[in-house]
Amino acid sequence: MARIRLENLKKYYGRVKAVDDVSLDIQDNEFIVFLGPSGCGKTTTLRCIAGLESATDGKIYFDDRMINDYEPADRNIAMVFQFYALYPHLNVYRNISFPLKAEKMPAPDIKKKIKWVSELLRIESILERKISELPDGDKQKVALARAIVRTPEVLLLDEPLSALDEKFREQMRIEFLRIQRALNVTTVYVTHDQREAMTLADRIVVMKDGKIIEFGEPARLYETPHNLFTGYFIGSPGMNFFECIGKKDGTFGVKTGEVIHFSESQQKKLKELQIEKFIVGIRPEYLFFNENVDESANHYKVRVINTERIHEINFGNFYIGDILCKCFLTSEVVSGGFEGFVSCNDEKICFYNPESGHIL
Amino acid sequence: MLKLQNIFKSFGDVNAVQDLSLEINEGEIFVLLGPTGAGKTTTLKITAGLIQPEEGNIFIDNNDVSEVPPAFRNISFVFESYNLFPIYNVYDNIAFALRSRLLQIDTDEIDKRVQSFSRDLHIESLLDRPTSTLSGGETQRVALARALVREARLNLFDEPLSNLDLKLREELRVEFKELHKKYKSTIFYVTHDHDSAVSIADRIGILYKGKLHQVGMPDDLIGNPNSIVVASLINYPAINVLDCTLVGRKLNINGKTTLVELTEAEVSSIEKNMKAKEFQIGLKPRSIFIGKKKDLINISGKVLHTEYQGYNKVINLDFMGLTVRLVTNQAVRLEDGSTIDVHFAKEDMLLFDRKNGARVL
Repeated sequence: MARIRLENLKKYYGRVKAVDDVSLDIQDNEFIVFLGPSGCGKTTTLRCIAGLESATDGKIYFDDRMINDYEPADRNIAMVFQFYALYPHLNVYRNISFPLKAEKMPAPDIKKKIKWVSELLRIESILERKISELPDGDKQKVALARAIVRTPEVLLLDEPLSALDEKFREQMRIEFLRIQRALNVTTVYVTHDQREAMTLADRIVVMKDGKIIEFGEPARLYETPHNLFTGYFIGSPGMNFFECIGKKDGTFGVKTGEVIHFSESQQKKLKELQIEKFIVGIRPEYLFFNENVDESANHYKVRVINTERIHEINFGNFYIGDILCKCFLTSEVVSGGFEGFVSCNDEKICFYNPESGHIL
Repeated sequence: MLKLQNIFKSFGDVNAVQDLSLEINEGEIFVLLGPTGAGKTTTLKITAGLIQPEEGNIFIDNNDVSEVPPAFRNISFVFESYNLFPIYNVYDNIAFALRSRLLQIDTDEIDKRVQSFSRDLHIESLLDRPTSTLSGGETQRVALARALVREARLNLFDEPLSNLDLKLREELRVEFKELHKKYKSTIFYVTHDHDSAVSIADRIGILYKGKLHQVGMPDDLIGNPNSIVVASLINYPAINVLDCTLVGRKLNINGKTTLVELTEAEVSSIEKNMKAKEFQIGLKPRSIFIGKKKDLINISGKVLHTEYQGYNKVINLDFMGLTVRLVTNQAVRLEDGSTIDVHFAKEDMLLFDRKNGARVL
């Protein structure tokens, strides 16, 4: 249990800015997920918190202690890696007890601790089994048990599910959440899988190119991403984005000239913002296809070129100008090539600045 | 086009592939889906001729190629770990197989094909780069180009997307499908990722512990699985599995609570095939709905936790000590610990024999 603060953290490898001025305040007991594509700096940031990398610049605090100069062993953290790093020839019990023996904990206490942690992770029945005999999901549970048996203040997890089969991953996500809630430990979890992030996190840190793009609760990041990248990266499929230009006659169109109809209230909002060029962001599932048009709603005339089924929901692909977009299809539709309109509600549209990518 | 007939292969005590027979049609994407260790890669390697089966035959275009060496089977192979030549640039990697003396393709034709596939895979700007300087996604595109450029009779893909970020994987899947529309090559693809399987496959085969359990179009497998193995591998989110016992016409949970009463006809159709009384109910999270509804099966449970996944929410319910998950896109906010009513239709309930996992209803 500790509050973690990063102050202008930087980590450079030569000219590469792996972590580029990251500041962050993580609350006590919070479950934080660092989310981003490969090379965004999420793992490097985690390794700086663990003390496995020394920061080029900036400060790391656990509560009020600045811990930059602490050795990893003195930080009271536990870390779980993608590859479990267990002792394959030892049984589960001895793997978990290893860090406790290293601390020279008396044997009865070790026993108590292992009873507690194995009940928490529901691995009582496999304590005598050898690591090499276990399925991958159980190995990762043992790795987690070994990490938390010392009751660390901070739990760090580096893509712990990436090496597992999809099937195990879904089960383990639920397990992780249950265990973290039961433990009350400040947790930082690194992943590129937005589904994991959405399911697990109290708050998500979206990273790209060594920088924090956005920091917030999953629902907020999904519904109203403050940055284009967040809208693209979170959600499957991601948000639709297309550029829109305000014309002299008060209408709006895309780059290639087609007209976008906005509702009256949206037009008023756009007038108040006083911008000529902006990017419209809208989630595919909030964009409905219909053969008929409701003139008062936001709408655009489209030709659906093909359909796609994602998680048992049908989506239609179509172009807005020259940008490929997706919309929700309510009925089972034919193989494509049909015309109609897509429309959406006001509150589901986000407007972005085309230069900065920030929400307007 | 490809036919595998009664293939057996074991490694020591492990039966990697057991009596596997399947046929792949010209121009289709056939996906073999199964967990780690199911025998997927072994099956691919046997098809390619990299592993010799103990029994069984392999036919390509009705010719028995079981004894034909890999190089003469006219098959391309993309491995999970890509295996590009790090010392060559992208162009030379893609052109490599075409330059084989076996093929005798002239340099202009090679160039034409390399350029054309590079354009389709959006790597034309990378052709001069050494492959060691590429990102994960770029490397994957080069590996795909190198395989497809050969225009082999059959293309084998071993988890080609599993090392990529989720987002990149989703994007490449769409491109892969588009590319296939253009070239209509025959593709044999193995993966453990149901999302990839469902989104790219024309047909899917479910492989588990070396045995092929079911083959069909994605929707067939989702709607009509023949066993609990298929149902639990193909569904996302995972299907709910509830142990139950048949007492008379009643399906009881936890030994006493009756969940549903079957009709005489249903009971007799079950009993015709087996004497078992122990079953498992399979219920898809998408088949369960919030609220009470007359004439449907109503249960209530305590909300354990809601997984927010954007448009969808996965609600975890405690139902008599069992965890039941359901998916909703309703704009509801459910407090953890509150009790809610949910319902489902009897037709959406799948029934499996608890012993051997076979579908009984």
